[in-house]
Amino acid sequence: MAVINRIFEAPRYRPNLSLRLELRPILYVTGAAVVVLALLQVVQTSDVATTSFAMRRQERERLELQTRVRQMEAEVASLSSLGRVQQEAQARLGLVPPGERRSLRVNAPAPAPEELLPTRFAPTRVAEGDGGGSPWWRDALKLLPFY
Amino acid sequence: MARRSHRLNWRMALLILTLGIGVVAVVARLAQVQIVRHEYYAQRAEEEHLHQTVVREPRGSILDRNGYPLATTVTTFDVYVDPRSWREPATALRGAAALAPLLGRAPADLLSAVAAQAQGDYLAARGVDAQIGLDVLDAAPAGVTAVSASRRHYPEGDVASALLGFTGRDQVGLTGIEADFERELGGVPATVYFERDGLGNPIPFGRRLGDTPIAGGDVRLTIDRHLQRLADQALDRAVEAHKATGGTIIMMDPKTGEVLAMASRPSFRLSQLNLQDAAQGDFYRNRAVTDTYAPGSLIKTITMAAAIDSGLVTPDSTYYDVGVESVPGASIRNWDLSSHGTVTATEILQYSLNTGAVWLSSALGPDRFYDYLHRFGFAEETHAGLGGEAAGLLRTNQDEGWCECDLATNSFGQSIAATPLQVITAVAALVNGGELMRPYIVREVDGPDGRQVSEPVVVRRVVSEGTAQTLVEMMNAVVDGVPSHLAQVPGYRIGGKTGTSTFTDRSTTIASFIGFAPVEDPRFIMLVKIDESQDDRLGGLVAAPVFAELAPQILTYLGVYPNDAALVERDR
Repeated sequence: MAVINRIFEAPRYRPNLSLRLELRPILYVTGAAVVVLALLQVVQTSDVATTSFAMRRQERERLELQTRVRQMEAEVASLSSLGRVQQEAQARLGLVPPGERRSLRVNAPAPAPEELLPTRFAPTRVAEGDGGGSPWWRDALKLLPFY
Repeated sequence: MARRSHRLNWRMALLILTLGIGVVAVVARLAQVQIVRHEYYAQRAEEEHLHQTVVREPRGSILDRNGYPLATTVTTFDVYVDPRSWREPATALRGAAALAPLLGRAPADLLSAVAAQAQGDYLAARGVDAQIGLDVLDAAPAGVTAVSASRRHYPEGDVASALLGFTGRDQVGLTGIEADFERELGGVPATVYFERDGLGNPIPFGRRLGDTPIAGGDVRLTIDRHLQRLADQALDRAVEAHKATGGTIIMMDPKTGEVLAMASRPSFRLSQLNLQDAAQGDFYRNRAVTDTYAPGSLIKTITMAAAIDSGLVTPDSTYYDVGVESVPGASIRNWDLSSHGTVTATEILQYSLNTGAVWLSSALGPDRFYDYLHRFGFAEETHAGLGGEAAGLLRTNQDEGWCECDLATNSFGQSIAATPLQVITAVAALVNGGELMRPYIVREVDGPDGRQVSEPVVVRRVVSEGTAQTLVEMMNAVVDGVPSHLAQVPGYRIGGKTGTSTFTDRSTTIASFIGFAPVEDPRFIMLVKIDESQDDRLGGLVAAPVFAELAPQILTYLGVYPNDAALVERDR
């Protein structure tokens, strides 16, 4: 008859051999990560270069547009200058300064002066309806945070 | 086994001491560098790494009263070549071949100039037109950079040169309105720091520190470009015709104090400005406000106004002119050494009698006379807003060295110094019902500090409205009441007074005339002053014709029709 009252030994921890790390997948993952990081770096660098180029191009376009606006303003100013008006009147239209002056009063309103000046130089005028301020919905939007 | 001793021997102690001192020294130095002088070294590092530059927005424009630009800004380019990029001969040849035609230079010249540049970039061209600069940017030759700059452009040419002034190469105002309103026109520049690489080029997406520059605004003057041009041209003609050394013309709206035109000679021309020429330095100031002169007989209007306002005389009061008035220290004679017998107060002005002016001033007494001169604004700045304004000189009975002869000579405008702007402002008070207006030349400023609009300012009442109206009629009698007066303008009633001031050290004179029109409702007042005419000497011969030439043009421009104009009905 077997003796059954012997003391059972506590199960001893034994490492599971199936969990043992294998080097090859780690290398694959690491390699892939390095490749991804490298590509990311390349993409970022490329993106920076592209964005930088686009910025330069847009800055150049802005500079060109600003230059042309100022050129045109100066051109309008030169074309409307008194010296040029006199030159055109005398050289092209053949006008001469008046000798004897004769004044006639005409009881008719004078025509309105033409708008010759660039907007930037023209006297400030408040358009009709501009005095009402911003609409109510815009004021309401301003109450929102971060608006 | 022998026991090893742990006792320090002197060698070990010395080593430890040395190392200890070394460690303490290193730590102390680190503490000094990183803690004590942290700011200094951090700044040095930043300076090494960051480049600093001052950035400006384009300068604002100077406009006339109707918004036409008298000075504005256009974009230009400065073209630079980096000599390091042209070390390779093939690259340099290609670059020079592309750049030289755009700049109008020979490629060989450009190559040799770039090669001779020892340090830094070579400035191939400064301030080239915008189109050329853009072409350079388009062509983009290796090592070539076109940097945006700006230049002042004057659409009306040399009109109002001394008044407008000019800017330096850095676009900072140096004289005239450009300097007086530097902040408003030039805005607020900003210092910007950006990261740079070893070659000094900005690093894309590098740090960029600093403020944003605030753009300059426009300054709108009270000057009317048409009237200013008339004044400039007329003054040039008069100075040339009389071979004079200079002159001044000022036009003003007597009711508001707005200066409509201001021209003075000798002056410079904006189109021929040469800052390298030191001889031009004397021409840069605006003599209408910086230089004083003896106003001469123009002051008789002030003397007469004071006497009438004090109730001493009326236009019909009589004075017996024997041709000389004796005062302690001097005998005053009339300008033509004549005597007229019994004359009225109006005739004193018509004949411009020095003796009559002396009679009036002695009746007034020095206290009252100088009080009136001060009330009319003499010996104080007008505060017109222009830089370098002179206050003038006036020696009164309160000052040391004054004598009664001063009172006598002051009464007809000698021994007194005033700017042309002071003189026209004073006489304009008579035309404006007795109220002295503060002259002003800037109507509106739209600068970094917001929009500011100038309004007419009444400084003070100088004489009663009745006195002022009386003087207007008397000044009308001076012009229209004297046959063949050279200031008369057909169809209009003109008021005015001539002036001829003399020098003690030479025989030449300053000939002047101040006039206004129309008498019924004066729309403008104008002072014409011609310095040291080489032919005629009198204001009535030299300056009055200039007024008569300009007045009808001004009145036509202002829409004032002559009294004799025929009315044409619309339905005819």
